[in-house]
Amino acid sequence: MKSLLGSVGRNGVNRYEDVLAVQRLLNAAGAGIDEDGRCGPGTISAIQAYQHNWSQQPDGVVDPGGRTWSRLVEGKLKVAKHAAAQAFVLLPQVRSDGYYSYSPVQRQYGTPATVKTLVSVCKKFALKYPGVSVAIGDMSFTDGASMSPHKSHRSGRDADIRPVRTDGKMLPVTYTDSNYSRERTAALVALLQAERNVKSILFNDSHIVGVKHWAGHDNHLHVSMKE
Amino acid sequence: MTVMFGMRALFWGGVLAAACALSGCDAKKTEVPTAAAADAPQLGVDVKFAALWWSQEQMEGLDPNNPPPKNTQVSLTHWEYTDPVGVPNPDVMDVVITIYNKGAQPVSNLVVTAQGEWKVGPLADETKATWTAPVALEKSEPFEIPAASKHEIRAQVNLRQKMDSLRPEDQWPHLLRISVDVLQSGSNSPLAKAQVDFPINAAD
Repeated sequence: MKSLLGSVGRNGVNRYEDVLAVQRLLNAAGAGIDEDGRCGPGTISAIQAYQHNWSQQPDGVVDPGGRTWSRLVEGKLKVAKHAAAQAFVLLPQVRSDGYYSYSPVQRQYGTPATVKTLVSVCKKFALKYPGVSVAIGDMSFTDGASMSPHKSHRSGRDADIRPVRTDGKMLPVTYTDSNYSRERTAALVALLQAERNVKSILFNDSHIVGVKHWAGHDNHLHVSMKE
Repeated sequence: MTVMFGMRALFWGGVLAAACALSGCDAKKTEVPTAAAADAPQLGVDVKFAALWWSQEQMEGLDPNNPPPKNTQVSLTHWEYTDPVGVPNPDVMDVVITIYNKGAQPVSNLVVTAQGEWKVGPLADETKATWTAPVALEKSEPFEIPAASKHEIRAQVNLRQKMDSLRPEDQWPHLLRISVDVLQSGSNSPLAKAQVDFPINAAD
């Protein structure tokens, strides 16, 4: 882990690479913030929240070589060890149980909890809509390596899922297409949201409750899990 | 003139001269056409992008671990990876350059040059991207276009190679800018030119 070249956080130098490094470490500690290299209110709040675990006076700043930085790096090492001990597992490659894969096998690894959640949701979906399969795309590589061209999909807790079609065909679909089934997709979203492990769902159909709209999500749901 | 969605195209030369003649430009700002200018070749150039991808029939139930060959030609306005099967995100694409001779006379001894510039920056932040030095993509052999005809030239761009070269540094080629000049062989003054941007969209 490279050291910081300048401070990050409130009134910090906030070099892009430094902010990105801190954001990644904060996320490794479970912050759940955007990794965009920009130090906005979300990043500062996350620094303060992290400092609050062990400091009475969180200042929202990470200094090079400082206590917050050292703790973040140590924490990352612990997380890495934990991840190694709890390696990602492969989404079972089946075309039954209510789902099929549309990404190569090496891109379909996740944490045990993530895989369990996906399989569970798909089984419930299959009971509600027999013969209709959920399409699961990119998740993570087995070792959490960078998955180009994704910015995320490294934690084993992300999964791309196609919206559901009206005709049951194993084809892509966009929420504006005539073959798009809002009813079935809403049911899928509801099943996901009912899972304690599901943190957020990005999708652009404004008629579906509880999804977050985000550019580039007309033809897939990006599901993020907590663990 | 063809302008595709998501692209900017600029054309000069004979096309501009013809447009000016039709619209009645300000006489003070317009040179009186000389015999030579009136005889100038009326050329236009159009730049598009194309690649091979799966057909709709191939996409249905496609086995991602054993995909069929991509053999359907598709037009591209941009590269994106929102659905890796349904939305083309080819490793290699063609820059399709079409030169039009709109005049009544054939034009010979033409040469086309094309260059590409990449706008490269952090994968997670396009606003930090900067332009890299132009790279030559194509210099054609001299050719002739008969009257009221067109001539097509293709130059290949390996997108995957560029992405792979940038990946270790968490960088991404956010935009590819193609600049094309159509010249008379031996001349440095383009008879027609075009500049087109091709967005390359990373995924979340």
